[in-house]
Amino acid sequence: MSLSQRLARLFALITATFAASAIAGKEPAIATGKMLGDTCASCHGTRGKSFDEYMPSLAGIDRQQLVRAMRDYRADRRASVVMNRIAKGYDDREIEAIADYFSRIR
Amino acid sequence: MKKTCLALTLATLLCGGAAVAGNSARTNAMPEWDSDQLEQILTRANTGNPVEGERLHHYLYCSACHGHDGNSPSRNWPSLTGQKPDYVMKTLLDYRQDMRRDHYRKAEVMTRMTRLLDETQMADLAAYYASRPAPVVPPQTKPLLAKKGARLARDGDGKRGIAACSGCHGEHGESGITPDTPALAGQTPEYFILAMKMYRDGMRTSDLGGVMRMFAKPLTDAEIEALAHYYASLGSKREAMR
Amino acid sequence: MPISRRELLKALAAAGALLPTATLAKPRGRAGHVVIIGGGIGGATAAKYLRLAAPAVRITLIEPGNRFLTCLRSNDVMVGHMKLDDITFTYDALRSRYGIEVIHDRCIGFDPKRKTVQLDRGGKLGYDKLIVSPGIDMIHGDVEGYNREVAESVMPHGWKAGAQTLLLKKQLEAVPAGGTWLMVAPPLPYRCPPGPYERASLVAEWFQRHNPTAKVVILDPKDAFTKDVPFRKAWERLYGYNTPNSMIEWIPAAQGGKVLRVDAAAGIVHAQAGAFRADAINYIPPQRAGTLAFRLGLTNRDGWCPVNRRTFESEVVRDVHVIGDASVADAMPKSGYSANSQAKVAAQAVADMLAGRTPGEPAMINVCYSLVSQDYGISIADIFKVVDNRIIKLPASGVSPITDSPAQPLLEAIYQRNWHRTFANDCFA
Repeated sequence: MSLSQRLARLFALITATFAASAIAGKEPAIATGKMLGDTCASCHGTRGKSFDEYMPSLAGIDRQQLVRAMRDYRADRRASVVMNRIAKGYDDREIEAIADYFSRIR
Repeated sequence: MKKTCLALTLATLLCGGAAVAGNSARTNAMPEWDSDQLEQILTRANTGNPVEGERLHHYLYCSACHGHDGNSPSRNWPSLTGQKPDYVMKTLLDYRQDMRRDHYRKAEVMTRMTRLLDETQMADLAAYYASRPAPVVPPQTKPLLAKKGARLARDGDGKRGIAACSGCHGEHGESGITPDTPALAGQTPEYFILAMKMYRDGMRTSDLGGVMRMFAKPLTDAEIEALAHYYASLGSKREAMR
Repeated sequence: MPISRRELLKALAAAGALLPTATLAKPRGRAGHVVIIGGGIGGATAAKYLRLAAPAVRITLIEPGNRFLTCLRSNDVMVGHMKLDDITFTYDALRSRYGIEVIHDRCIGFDPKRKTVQLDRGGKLGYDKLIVSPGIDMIHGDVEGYNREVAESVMPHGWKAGAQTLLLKKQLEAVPAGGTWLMVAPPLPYRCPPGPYERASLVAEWFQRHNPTAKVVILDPKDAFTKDVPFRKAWERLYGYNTPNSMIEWIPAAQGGKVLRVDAAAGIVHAQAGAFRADAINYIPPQRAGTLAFRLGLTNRDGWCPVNRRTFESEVVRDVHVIGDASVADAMPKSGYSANSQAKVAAQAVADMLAGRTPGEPAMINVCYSLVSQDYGISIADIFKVVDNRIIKLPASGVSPITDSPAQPLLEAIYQRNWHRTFANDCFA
């Protein structure tokens, strides 16, 4: 193999590696559903348990119901005092992880 | 209609007074309406403007808890669409007069919110909710439980003194004639359960003459749950407009 | 000769005193022993959430007091809307429900090599992981005439709930008709960034009812403060701000708000803008990490504790995690809510590290509600991420919008009052 061939191969290898990491970079690591859910607990209660007049419980909630609520808040489709601001801090994957976590709590 | 009146009369005769007396023995009894006074004020319930009501629904953040289109997106709070105007008006007045508890505490959110409203605006909101179809069947409704609840709702249980719910709330949960018998079709089951338990425990006192408190008394938790899912299942079948 | 259990224990303890401490302090079991120092919002939350994440770990919480008073809502106590009891919490649930050993003692030193902490009365305690939540301390000597004695008598700060809160209340009630209540606001960074402005607002509301010609003056070493847009809009709506009859006068740095010296005996604060005589003076001094952080050698040159932002492990001492107001957390404000959120991240990291796992991605949040009156609330809500060992604030969230709906600030006020109950439960119950 000539030097230029070897260089071309090396270049191809580097490009492929770079492309692979770039694809991986599109999906950065997210926190677990529990870790994300803990950020909700300061208002919605530990493990999402707080059924009262002003603060809805999240424990055992229908998964789709929570996903839809968060997306609606984020897009300002649903009026709220605080939640529409908070929902803007979570992407789709994080919202789904949160919904998985709370929907499984009994 | 005849059936409804009968059930109500019977209830009032049998235990209405007793239930109220029993409740006021509690340390923190809530004030209740004088029926003449209530009737007077409810004459305005059917004069509302639904367009103005829709504006208020958003402007006053009612939509934050009761849903953009009045279909509650949460388990904590009731759906309001398809509700009859005098029931909505009475409920708003109950809150404004400090007569309500929510979730076993003195209601704060609704008590304070209703003090932002005058009676014209209450009637406007009532007209808006009444102008909308019944709530869509909530996603968490369980068909099996609904089936169980259906029999009790239609037939009651004479041996245990449980009247048929449909007598007052309509064959399809579409509501009855008195201002304190709401439409129940499509109602959020968790909210329904909470309301019934509060009636059973004498913590909700917005029923005239203590009628619901009396009917709820013999019900078991399982029966209440079955009824909740039955009435939830009677909601509109179409997807909510989003 | 039979030996009694007590005698055996005594003999062992005596022998133990001769052994190297590290051997003695080795915790029982393989799950490990975590010692948490400081039973405020950070420490209590860390203890509880560590138990949820690591059921088998032995957890000891060291805290001198047997009750905790939240700074949160202490402004309501000052103006008489709440009692001290309403903001007081105990460690009972941490003990009974979460099996946490709570020791009411003071930590007076530690040996990071042998991994032991020295208690004032309780001897030495070994740990595998140490979590400290030292809170804040006041810096007293920055301005001529202001010292600890002045801070505890005529110019209380009330920046830790308790006796000073009641002293502030007494001084507020003693302001004569048409008098002046003056606050010296602190420079950043300090605990509870919106706290001074909430307090000034609630004092104005109190005056409206009890002393309508009295005034509130804020001397500020800053030119801006958190939520200042909705705060000032609310002051306009409620207290005549920006009119000649405003009940609140805010003097920022640009207008000479910086304080030069105080004359405690005469009740005068000398600022760049001139001399201000007041009937009650609430001096909130600059702050630094709590004494404990200094005693354990965890601080940097600025007086705060640098940490790995993903785990809150100290950058100075290994196996020690620092959470809450004392930690350097970049974009996160020094608030109870932040401390609660950081405690959960640190607890999960500690549980992971003890179990030999690499801690995962952290998630943090802060929400601060403030009351501008009993019926008017505003808030700030932010989500945080860690990028290159810095905590950054995601751009999309933020401060309450200003609307013309009367329902919005009213709902925020109601949420605020109810939130305090839920939040305290998340920390202590």
